[in-house]
Amino acid sequence: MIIHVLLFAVVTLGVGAVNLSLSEPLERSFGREFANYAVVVGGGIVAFTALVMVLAAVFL
Amino acid sequence: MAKQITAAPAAAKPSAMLWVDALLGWLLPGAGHLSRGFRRQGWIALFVIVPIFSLGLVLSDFEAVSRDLHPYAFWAELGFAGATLPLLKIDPAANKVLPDHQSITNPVPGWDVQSRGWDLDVSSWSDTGVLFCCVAGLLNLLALFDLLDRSLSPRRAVRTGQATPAGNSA
Repeated sequence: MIIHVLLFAVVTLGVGAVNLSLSEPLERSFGREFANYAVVVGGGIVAFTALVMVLAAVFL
Repeated sequence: MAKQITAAPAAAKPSAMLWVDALLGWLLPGAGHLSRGFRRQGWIALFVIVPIFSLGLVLSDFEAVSRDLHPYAFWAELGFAGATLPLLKIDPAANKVLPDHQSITNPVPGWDVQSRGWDLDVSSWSDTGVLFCCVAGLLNLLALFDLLDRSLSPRRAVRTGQATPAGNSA
């Protein structure tokens, strides 16, 4: 499961990097925009994984 | 006082070189952007899309690209033609299961593969690998559309602060 989550994070960050680079002009620098995106996406992945694990522990 | 009407900038005519660059970008992600001077977009496309596609191939045990095994995913993967078309010609996945082989579990006629303990089943990461290749192909299509948009739309060229590439001046 850890590998699945890491692979999902890799492909999501890759999609974000390409989309950010193609959607210029950006309000901030590419690095800042990507850092912001990575924090949001990473937080979402962590939160969603935690939710899935809690639900699995409760119901399985 | 008469209103001053400003006409919208006319779209540039696509030059032959634009189609060559688009073809380059189709074959190798980012090559079209690099060729037209959009360096950052080109390098990011190259160093993101190619590794994602390669990782997908490795995860799927090089079976991600196959019109026989993944007839629908193939069309998404075709966004990265430089890898998909040669792999389609080689088709390692179909070679395992179709010509000259009896089945995927007994690929070589006369060989008792199962008693040898060989694992010839589909890779356990096959689905993830196919997904990675599809995402890479679709991302490259997006990059191609972006290349055409940047080159043909004068508004986009002004907004991005980049000069319209030579041969496509509005």
